[in-house]
This record gives sequence, C-alpha cells and structure tokens, in this order.
Amino acid sequence: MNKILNIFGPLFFSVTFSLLVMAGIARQPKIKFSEVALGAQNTSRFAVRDGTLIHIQKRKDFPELISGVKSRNLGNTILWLGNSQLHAINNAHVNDETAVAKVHDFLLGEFDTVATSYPNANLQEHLVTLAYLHNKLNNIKVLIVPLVFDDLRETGIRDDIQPLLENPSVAEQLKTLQCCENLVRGVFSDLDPHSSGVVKQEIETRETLQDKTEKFLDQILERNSIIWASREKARGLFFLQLYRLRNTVFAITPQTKRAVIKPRYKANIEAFKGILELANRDAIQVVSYIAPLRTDVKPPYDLAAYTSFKNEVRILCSQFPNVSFFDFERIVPAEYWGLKNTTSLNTAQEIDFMHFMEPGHQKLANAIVEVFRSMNLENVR
Amino acid sequence: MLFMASVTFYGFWRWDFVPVMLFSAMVDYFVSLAMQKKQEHRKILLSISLLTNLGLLFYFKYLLFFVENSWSVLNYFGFSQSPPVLNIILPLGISFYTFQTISYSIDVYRRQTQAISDFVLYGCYVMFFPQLVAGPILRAGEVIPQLQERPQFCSENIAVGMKRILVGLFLKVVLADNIAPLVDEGFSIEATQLSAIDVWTLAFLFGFQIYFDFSAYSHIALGSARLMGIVFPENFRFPYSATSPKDFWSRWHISLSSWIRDYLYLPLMGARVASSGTQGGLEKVVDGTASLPLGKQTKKMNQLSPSNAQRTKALFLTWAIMGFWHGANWTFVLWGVYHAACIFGYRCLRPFVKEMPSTWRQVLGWFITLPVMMLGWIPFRAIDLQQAFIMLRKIFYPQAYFSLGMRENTYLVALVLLAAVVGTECIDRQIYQPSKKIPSLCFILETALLTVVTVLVFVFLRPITQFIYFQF
Repeated sequence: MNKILNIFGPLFFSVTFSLLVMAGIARQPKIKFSEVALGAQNTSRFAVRDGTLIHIQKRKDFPELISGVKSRNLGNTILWLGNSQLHAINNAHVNDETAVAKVHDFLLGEFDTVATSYPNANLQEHLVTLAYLHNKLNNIKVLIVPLVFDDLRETGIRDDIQPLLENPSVAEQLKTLQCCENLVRGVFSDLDPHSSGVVKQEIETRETLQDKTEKFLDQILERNSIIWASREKARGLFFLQLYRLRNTVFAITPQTKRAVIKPRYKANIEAFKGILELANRDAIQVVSYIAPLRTDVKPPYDLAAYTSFKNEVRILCSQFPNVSFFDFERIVPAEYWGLKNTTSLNTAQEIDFMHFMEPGHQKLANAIVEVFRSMNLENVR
Repeated sequence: MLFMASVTFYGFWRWDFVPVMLFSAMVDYFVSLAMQKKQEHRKILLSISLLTNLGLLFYFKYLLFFVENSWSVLNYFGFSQSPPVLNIILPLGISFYTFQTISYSIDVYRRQTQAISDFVLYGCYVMFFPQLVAGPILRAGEVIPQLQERPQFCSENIAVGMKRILVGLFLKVVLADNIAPLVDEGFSIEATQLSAIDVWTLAFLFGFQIYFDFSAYSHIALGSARLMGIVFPENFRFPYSATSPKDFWSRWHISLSSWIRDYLYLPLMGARVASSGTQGGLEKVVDGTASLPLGKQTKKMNQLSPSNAQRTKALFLTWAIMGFWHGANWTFVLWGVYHAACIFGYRCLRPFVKEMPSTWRQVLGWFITLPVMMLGWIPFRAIDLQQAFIMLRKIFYPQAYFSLGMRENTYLVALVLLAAVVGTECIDRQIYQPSKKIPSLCFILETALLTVVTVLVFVFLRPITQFIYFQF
C-alpha cells in the first residue's frame, strides 16, 4: 500500500488539487474579458434601433446589422468604423448612449448610420470590415474612419472577424487594391496555400477523422462538464493576471510612453490607403478624423512621432478627392474624461486616455454632424 | 493487438496512406529475410530496400521541390511553359518510418541484427504508434527484444509514463502553442523591416518553440511506450545547456543524429560501423573520433582512418542531407550547412579550448554556443533563402541594433523563457535530482510541480495546432 502511494501519490494528489482549482474557477461569476480590459468605470453600449443593433462588435452580429439596414431601407448608409472609444462610456448612466446612436438619430431622415467597433481595432481590420459590409449593404455613401495613434501598434486580423476573408467578394475587392498588395498578400497567405510560389506542396485542409473525433469529444465535454466549460474563463484569468503582473513589475501605466512599432505602423498606413482607395473606387465619401485624446495631461505618445503621424495621414487624405480630414484631438474637454481601474496588481485608479463620458460622446456626435452639414449632404446622396 | 492499434492510430489521420506505410514496411521485411538467406545477394537486396524507401520519400516529399527548381532553371534559359500542377500530399511521418525501415535493412545487411520472420512483431517495431509520426527513430535491436518479451503490467511504468505524458502536454499546449503566434507574426514581417534585436529575439523564440514542441512529442512518445512497459531511449537532454556544438548534438534529437552518424556520416568517410544504436548523437562525429572503429576492430580500422579533407567533406555533406531531410527547401540545406560550419569551426578551435580551465570552458562555451545554435534556427524557420539571408545579415550591422520591430511583450517573453530554460536545468540538477534521496521531499516537490502542470494542461488543452515535426 505504501509503495502504491509513493508511486501514484503525486499523480493522484495533483489531479485532485487541479480539479479543486478548476471547480473554484467554475464557480466564479462569468467574466467578460473585453470589459475587464476597459476597466470597471467604462461600460460598453451598442445601440439598438427598431429592435436591431445599429452598432456591433462581434461577427455573429453582422447579419442583424445588415438586416436592420435593409428593413429600414433608407437608401443611404453611413458606416462608422472604430475602436472601443466608439462603444465605451466612462461613468455611464442608465440611458447614456454613444456618439453612434446620437448621430444615427440626428441624421435619421436622410441617412442610416451604423457602426462596427472592436477593442484596439487596427486599420487592417477596418479594411476587411469595409470590404465585407460594402458588398453586403450596397448602399454605403459615407464612411467615417477615426485614426487612433495607439491602434497603429496593433496588427493582424483577429480570430473573430478572420472568417470574413473567406467571403469571395471580400477577397476579390482586396486583391484588386493596388496600394497595399504586400499587406493583402500577407493577410491571405494563411488562407491560400497557393498564393505565392510556382508549385506548392498540397496542404492538408480536409477535416480528418482525428479532427472530427477531437471536436466531438470537446463538444460533449463542453456540454456535460462545467469544469471543462470553464477552461476559457481560466485561460482568460491566467493571461489577465500575467498582464497585471507585467504592468506591476515594469510599472506600466496608461501614461507610459508607447513606442511606434515600425512594421505595424507601416502595415496600418497601407491598410488606410486601401480603405481610401476602396472608397474612392466606389465614390464613397470618407470622413477621417484624429480621435479625441485627453490633453490636460501628457499623452502616452512620443510627441514628435504623433505629430509626424498626423501630418502623414493629413497628406494621404488630401490625395483623394472624396476624403475629408479633421483633427478632433481636442474636441472633448478634460472634465469629460475619467479614470479607470488600474491594470496592475495594486488597487489605485489610472487616467483613461481612450474613453470619455456621455457628454464627450455628445461632443463627438456634434462634431460629426457639423462635418456633414458642411459637406452638403445632397451631394453625398 | 498492438499492430492493429498502430495501424488504426495512423488511419485516424488518413486511411488512404496506410498502404504506403505497409508497403515500405513489407519491402524491408522481405528484403531482410532474403538478405539473411542469400548472403551473396545482400548488396542487391539492400539496394532494393534503399531505392524503395528513398523513392517513396522522393516522390512524396521532394518531387514538387524538384519540379519547381527544374522549372526555375528552365525559365532561366528561356523556357516559358507553366509548370505541371502536382497534387501530392505528404504522408504523415514518412520521413521517420522510412528511416526506421532503412536502418533495419542496413543492420541486417551489416549482420548487426537478425531478420525477423514474425511480420506482426516486425510491424509493431516499424509502426509502433507512440513514435510513428515524429520519432524517436528507433533501432530494431533496441525495441524488438522488448516487444518479444511481452512486458508485464508494472505500476511504476504506469506512473512514470503518465508523468511523462503530462510533462509533454505541458510543453506542447502551454508553452509551444503560446509561443507560436509570436514567432509566426515575427516571421511574417518583411525581413528588411526587422532590426538585429528582432532577429535575435525571433531566433531564440523559435528555438524555444521547436524545442518545446518536439521534445513534447518525444516525452509523450516515451511516456506512452512506458505505459506498455517499453523503454525508448531519450531524445533530448537539455540541449540549450550545451557548452559546445559537440555537446549540443549529443543532446538534441539524439535518435536522428545517431541515425545520421551510423548510416550516413561513417559510411561517407569509408568507416565501418561495428555496432549501432540510438545513443550519443553526433558527439563522436564532432570530435572527429567517430572514424575510429568500435570494439575489436580498432587496429584494422585505424588503418582506414580518413584524411581531414575527407572528414570535412563528409561533415558538410552529411549535414546538408540532414537539413534536406527536414524539408524540401533550400533553407533547410542552409541550416544543415550552417551547423556543419559551426562544428568545423569548433574542431579547429578545439586544441585551444582544451587548454582553458574547465570552469571557463563551460561558462564561455555556453555563452557562445547558445546564441550560435539559436541563430541556426533562422534559416530553419525562414520562408525562403532571401528572408534567411536578409535576417542573418542584420546581426552584423551595428546600426540595426537601435530599433524594435515587434511588440515589447515579444522580447519580454523571450527573456522569461531563456531564464526558465536555464533555470529548469539548474533546478533539476541542484534541487530535484538531490531531492530523490529524501522521499518525502521528493513527494512534495513532485506533487506541487504536477499540480501546476496538470492545471495548465487542462486549461490550455485545445485541438488547435499540430506538432511541428509532423511536417517532416
């Protein structure tokens, strides 16, 4: 008995402890990790009109957004692409709404305003979203593209929207863009084994019996075991704690200066060119703006790089006749910005440079409406 | 039952490729029996075995590469036809099972092992499912006697096997799979935009990824076999703690490097191999002592000792072939030649290194060997030669050290992993191994370690990626 305990003891106890840990995680309330990243002071709001979403974040909501536009049948659509600034409200009250909802309501007689926004969205993702919705909606007349300097540090297409690339019309539109051939080739390289080279070894894409078995077992366990089903939550918690630990060890705060990552910056600028070229090709009016930024404290950017970025996109926009460029950096006053919970292991609060309160959304909406007034809407229609 | 289980296991991937594997196995089975009976025809029979196995390997693995390169040459001379579209799927594990069957035939040819008349037993050796798709590449003499004995149930084997499987899963699903996106992203960046620091970081990160990924498979294979009472030789021994290229190659993918030593390097030098086995890797090859025969034949073989030029030629040729074994791409050949050059350099420096005090030799050796070995992963992972050369060139330009092309986390992860890899070997040597003398301490340490490993494996276990070595 003693021998068996010595041999199997560590295995037995480790499995028991592991199950207890997992059971503890499974009992914790559901965590929305996209909200955790925003901080407790920020609330995501996705406006609904006539029973359908006009502002979405996930791929699963695209059909609802598209059917809503079709059922309202207003003929002219404004598509607003953005990051979490567009859907998060700092210190939100129950009925507070985002700038998207406000612009939608204000222009309702003439335009149907809809939006997609992803946390830390990069311009490559906006390009793919535009190519997809342009084909599905057919009637996009105006495109609003905020330019967030911080998001140019992001790259790639997130898993949730990657399947949009499998749509043949998206591929067709993107592959005919002349300004960003390298970028598009990179985006599709994972999907198309024959995209480069003369003859390539056939890559096995057919689902094998092994794949099917694994999926089947995974689904069965997911349905029948709360411990198995809580693994995603555990993964999220694990990475969240690692993220907090990193921020604590290296004293990273929202005010820590973020360096420009040149290859990512270049890829995003290329994607922005792609957005402008795609819009120009189909006579879509583009309103592009430098996103509002908290300006009463030092921003987390290298000022020279930030100024250079603003100049670069301003010049780029001026090369296209259908593009209007605005600098909204200072339109939201300091009092409409808030704090958020720290992203380190201590409990202090930190300055939020990205998300503002409801009056901030009102300011942004007003600025957009003002732009539309100045653009002479009849021409757009 | 084991034979059927192995065939079924392979069929789980694709049934239609089971006959290819059976064909390769059967050819060597009959050829070896015939070699034993008709000693005078051994050479012809061995040629049949080699032609069959290498032919299969050429068709499935290298034909597309050959066509592509031929067409490039023809295009250069003005031939402007489109290349034929070939639809060839690489059968899983073909590089491993063909090498295993070749080694069996050669061992029979060399009279180092007896041909087996029991096809099921032989089939179990070739297709033994734990190591079928990515090694370790086993020798008949090491496995068949164990299979013949029909090992009995043993609780210790079960416990050891389960622990190894858990550790393997940890290395794969927790470490390798989470490093993979960082490496993929880095290598997808245009090489010209990367800085020298990026190149070093990617070299280290991919070095860790492939080590965790491949050693994970080996752990799982060794563990699964152990559950059945079969003991496989170790395939990895903390390779990144190596203090010289010689040391590295006695710690990395030992079963392949030993195979290459016994069936390629030594024959290329004209040396005869008295016995072979999955031990020692390329250690002796690096030393230059591999030309010395083993066992009783010492005197006779010393007379056949090859010249330095012959040894160097064999070294570079062996490594180029070893690189090519990994994949049909010039980048793998470059990887092989790079290692040959490292070993050649080490051979030249060896007389001076020997003079150094032992501690200095160890410390300095590790500081030089680790980055040199890691840099070798750049051509291994690069998409083409152009990318490999651009990246490798970067490290020689001082001005390329002043910018960063990736997210800060990438560098941080590389540093943490480096510390972890070095730390693990130290912990193993200084704490874990000594703790085995105190059962209660060992019990607590193992329980704590296995709890962390089990939780993380459970949380990260997802059917998302294959093992890297499945493609070879």
